[in-house]
Amino acid sequence: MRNAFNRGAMAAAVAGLFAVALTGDHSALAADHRETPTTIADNIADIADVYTWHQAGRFVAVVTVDGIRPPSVGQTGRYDEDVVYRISLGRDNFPTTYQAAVDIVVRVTRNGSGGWRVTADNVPGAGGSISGDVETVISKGSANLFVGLRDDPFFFDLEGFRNTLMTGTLMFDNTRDTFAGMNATAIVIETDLDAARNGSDKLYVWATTSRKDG
Amino acid sequence: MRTFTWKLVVFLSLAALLACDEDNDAAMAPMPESFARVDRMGMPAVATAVISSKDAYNAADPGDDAAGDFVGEITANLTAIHNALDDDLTGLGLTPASVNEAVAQAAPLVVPDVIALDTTVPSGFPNGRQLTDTVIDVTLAVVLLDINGLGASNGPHTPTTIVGVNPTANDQAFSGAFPYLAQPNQP
Repeated sequence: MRNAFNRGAMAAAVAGLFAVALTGDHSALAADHRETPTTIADNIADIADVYTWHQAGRFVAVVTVDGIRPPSVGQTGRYDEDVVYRISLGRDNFPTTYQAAVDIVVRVTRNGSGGWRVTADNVPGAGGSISGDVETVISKGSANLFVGLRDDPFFFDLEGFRNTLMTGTLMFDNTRDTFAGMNATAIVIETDLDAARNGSDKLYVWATTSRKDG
Repeated sequence: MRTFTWKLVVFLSLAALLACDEDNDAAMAPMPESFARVDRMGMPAVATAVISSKDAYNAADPGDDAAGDFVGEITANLTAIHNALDDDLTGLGLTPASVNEAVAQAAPLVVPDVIALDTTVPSGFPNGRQLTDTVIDVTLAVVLLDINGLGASNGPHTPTTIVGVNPTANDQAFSGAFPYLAQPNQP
């Protein structure tokens, strides 16, 4: 099989032949989905993935939680007002301080009429808190906010990894997307890039979740 | 959780006051007074692939990463991965990175565990993470293979050498408009 390798065929060949011995239980290559016993037990606070990019003068951050959720009748995102989501944004001094310049804080709380409302504080460019219904786009200032159920955007052969653990043989299958047909709760924030960077050329983005303690 | 807890409490209390000031028509539940960290994430696959003490990692902050709190276990896990896989990678015609080289290639991208985004050049993993980026295959390459232009030695591979090992696109098309993610799948 190694004779088949050349520059053009390498990726395809590797995809078909990437079967190698693996020892131990390390190497759970699944972004952050279903990560630890603690977070598995707390799906609503379990971060699946973090995305961030800029395009056309806009800055976007996406945090998915409660990932790999099968579709169900009457489905919406699942929420808990004891959970706080934080999207942290470091600017130019991050490589020396490792501190966020901005902490965007997102909470979903009962709206008093049987539904849920989301509030996002400290979104650059919003000119104040953004608040409104879940499962719909909310705009304020130059910012947009969406919190609600969406297609789980990640794609990867997580099943192949699980098979790896069971068999001791690492086997990726590029026709198998464990996340296909699955949903996640998405927190999506967009604002003017200049408001997000506030003069900083580089941004540093991470997400945390916390739950009411006691 | 060390000094983190009270700082967050103070911060969130202020945030709650601001929020209530903005939205005093909303019947918002009061902000809980104390929080415990549940999860933390920056770059894809880091916590799950090369971190052993996952609860401690989730409770930590980027400054703890930068202080080297997890470098020992990252190196140990990369060593185990390479011990298991290097013969097989070689058999596939690929050039594995040494453990030291793998650490040198990956550490600048994942320690501290945040997504860096240079806004002066176009986005594309690992400069940010777009919805369409094939992050697992790129991460596998950086961790396993000797990459030209990363780390101390210049191997024959690029970060995209093994793109195609996993699916290369989402099953649903992303939208060009906010909020970009596809509608939920239906039962």
